[in-house]
Amino acid sequence: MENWYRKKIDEITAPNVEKDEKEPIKAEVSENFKYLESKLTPSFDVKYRKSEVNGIKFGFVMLDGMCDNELITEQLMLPILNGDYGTSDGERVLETAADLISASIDKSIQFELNTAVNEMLSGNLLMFVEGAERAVLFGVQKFPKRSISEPDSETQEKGSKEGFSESFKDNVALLRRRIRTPVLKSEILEVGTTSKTRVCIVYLSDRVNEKILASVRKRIKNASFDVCLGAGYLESFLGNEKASFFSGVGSTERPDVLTAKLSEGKIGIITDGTPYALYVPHIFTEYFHSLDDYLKRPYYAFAIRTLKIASFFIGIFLPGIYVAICTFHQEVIPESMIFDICLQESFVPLPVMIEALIMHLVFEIVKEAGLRMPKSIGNAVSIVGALVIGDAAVSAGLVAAPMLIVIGLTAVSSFVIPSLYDISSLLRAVLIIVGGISGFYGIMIAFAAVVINMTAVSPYGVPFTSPLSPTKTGAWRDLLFRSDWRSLGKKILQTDRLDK
Amino acid sequence: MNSKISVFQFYSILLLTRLLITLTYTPAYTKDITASDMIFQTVLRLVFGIIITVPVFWLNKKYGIERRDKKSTFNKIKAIIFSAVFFYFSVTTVSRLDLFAGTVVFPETDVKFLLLLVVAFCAYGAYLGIEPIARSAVLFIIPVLMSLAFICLMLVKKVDLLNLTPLFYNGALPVFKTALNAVGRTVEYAVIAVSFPFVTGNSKKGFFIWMAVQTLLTAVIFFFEGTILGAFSRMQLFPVYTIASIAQCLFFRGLGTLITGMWILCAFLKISLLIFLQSKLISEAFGVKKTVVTVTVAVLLSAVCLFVSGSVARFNFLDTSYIKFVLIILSVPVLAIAELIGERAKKCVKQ
Repeated sequence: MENWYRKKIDEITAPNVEKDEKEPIKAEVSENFKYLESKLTPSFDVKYRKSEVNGIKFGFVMLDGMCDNELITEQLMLPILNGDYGTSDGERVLETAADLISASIDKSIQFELNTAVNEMLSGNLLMFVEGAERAVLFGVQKFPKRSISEPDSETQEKGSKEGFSESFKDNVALLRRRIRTPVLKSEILEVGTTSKTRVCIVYLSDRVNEKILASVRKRIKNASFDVCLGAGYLESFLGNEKASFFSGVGSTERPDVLTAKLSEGKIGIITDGTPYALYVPHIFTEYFHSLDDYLKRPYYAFAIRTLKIASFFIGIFLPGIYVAICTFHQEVIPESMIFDICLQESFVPLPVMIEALIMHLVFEIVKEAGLRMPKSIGNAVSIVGALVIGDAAVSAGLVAAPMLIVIGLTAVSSFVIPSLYDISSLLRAVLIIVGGISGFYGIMIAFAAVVINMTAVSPYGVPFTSPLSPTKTGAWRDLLFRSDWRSLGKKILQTDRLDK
Repeated sequence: MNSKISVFQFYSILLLTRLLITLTYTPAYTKDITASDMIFQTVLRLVFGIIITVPVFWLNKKYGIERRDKKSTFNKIKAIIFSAVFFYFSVTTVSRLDLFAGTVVFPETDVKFLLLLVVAFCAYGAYLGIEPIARSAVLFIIPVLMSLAFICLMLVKKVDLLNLTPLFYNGALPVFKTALNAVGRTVEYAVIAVSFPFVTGNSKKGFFIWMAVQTLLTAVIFFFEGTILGAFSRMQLFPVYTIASIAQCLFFRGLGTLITGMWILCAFLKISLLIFLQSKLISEAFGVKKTVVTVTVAVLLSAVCLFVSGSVARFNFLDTSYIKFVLIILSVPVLAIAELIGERAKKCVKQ
């Protein structure tokens, strides 16, 4: 049944593209051009150019807008067209022409037309020579791209202001700048049958776990989809196979953070066109660590991490607990406080659970609107949502003021760790419902279920909840409290986590 | 691949499951035993506990864990007996939780839905396997012990040592009886008997540490219960919850909620563990898929618990100390001794 279902899904989702046939490069430039035209027409941005030097025919194909025209004219065309070849043998002319080009330009020889076309479509210049059954590709890419800017969602006080951009080459260069040793390796793979998106696996060869690396390679190679528009596509292939709230795949917009992860023996995955990198294996406690923790005094790191953990729990539990207290467990809070809450809630026509759910929904709507709107309007939306709707709702008696405080505090707390926002938002809604139906009883059952769900995640054999459980006291020096660099820097950080 | 857990993880689960028994202990069933006797009997039952587990450890030491074909007739019988024991204790745990929810937390609400919810989540936990259960136990043990310490700290002011009576005030026999009953309530001995194959490390050392820690914790809880409530604790359905309910921290009152939380976490682990063990034993002995056994056990458990739910008379019948005692004695020392004799006879025949 499962196999039948999978087969059907594969049939439905299979990309409708022709399979690449092996087509050898021909000796005649015009024949090659004909083939390319049959494949690529109509495509206004593909430029074909034929030239003749001392009776030898040259053919050039490139994509307009993806190549550096200045570079092509000055460092490619000038030496090739002014070259002295001294022979009419196409193969030798091709080799000589390739040798004339400056070493700063990437060169590769191709024997097969389809591969050559794919490379040309990535921004390379393709050169044919009459009589040569080979072609040369020159790396002259120049894409319209965003410059390196400060990361939006991982702002740091003392860290670098550089963030990853959409160009994966730039991203790898940002890593190279931070790790200047030959042990930093970068492997290129391709995903997406149509998009042919380049994915770069980066790791430090002296500390990476070979089994995990092989598994990452295998998973990326087996990732079957048509078009890859972002690293998120890969996450489901790289992450935990069991149904869980947590995937075991981390992401970062910061090259310095990825550098730190690589130094712990983790593997980075940089996808072309995505301004953030993924890394595996990712464990739960990493959500509460940030670069600033390591750049400031350890005591400060301890305080910040404690605050983050508290915020995480407030973000998830507070509305559920409030609903549970109002509905079932009034005895746990002082009389004066419960009287105030009861008084406020008595004016609200809805049950507390429904009220909390509606407020949660309203907040999510305001958040979504603020996120998708242009920034200038986004602020206005936030003001209207938070102040106008909130204040008006309380004045109209539709929402109690304590509920507004609870939802507000929860919202702020959940933004302390942006990467956990989705999980906490979902769990918050669940806990509001169970808190309203079954009080602390239900909340604890749900909590236990979430914990066991989390402990079942074991990305690449590394338990998601380590070093807490299974307990690895060696890694505790960088858990809640961070040791001083004098002792923290003596060993490679947390690599012991990787070996189960 | 067979999952393995460490001794620390294993005994963390058992510490929580044993703590559950203490937290949910109903002294109304034990007559003629005073507060001081309750504290003393924890030491006695430690001794009894060690005595009944000696054959199990001896068997394990002498013949190792992989001594028999898993599909042999003896192993099948053993799997059935242990599964029955674990099923029975699962039923009593769920029913006790149901009784607590139905009488203390939601006295005016039908809690059958919650009962089903608990069983469903526990079956999910069992389905995930022993590793997640063990890892969760290690994570739960910190908040549970911290909550317990916090409650004890908040209760220090309310301790009245005059509530302690001289030892054996009503004779020594009730104390011995209570200690034996407590041994009967400890399904953990049966769990230890079947857990050697998936626990790595020095199990014997872990066992002694576990025994010492759980005895100490139980003694502390009984001390607070006895000194705060005195003879009044005999009339309480859940005295530990009662003392926690009168505890106060600054302006927060009713710390019984913390007990509820601890209770649920411990019960969740215990039921998950027992369902897991049933599915493991049955699937190994009879070659049935683990998932099928897990679902079947969960359905049966729900059905039986729904039948018991809402009726204190049925619960009392089910929770009889004698049945529990017989089950534990049969599954722990008797089976181990029988296996020892069998192995010895086999050895003699070979020679």
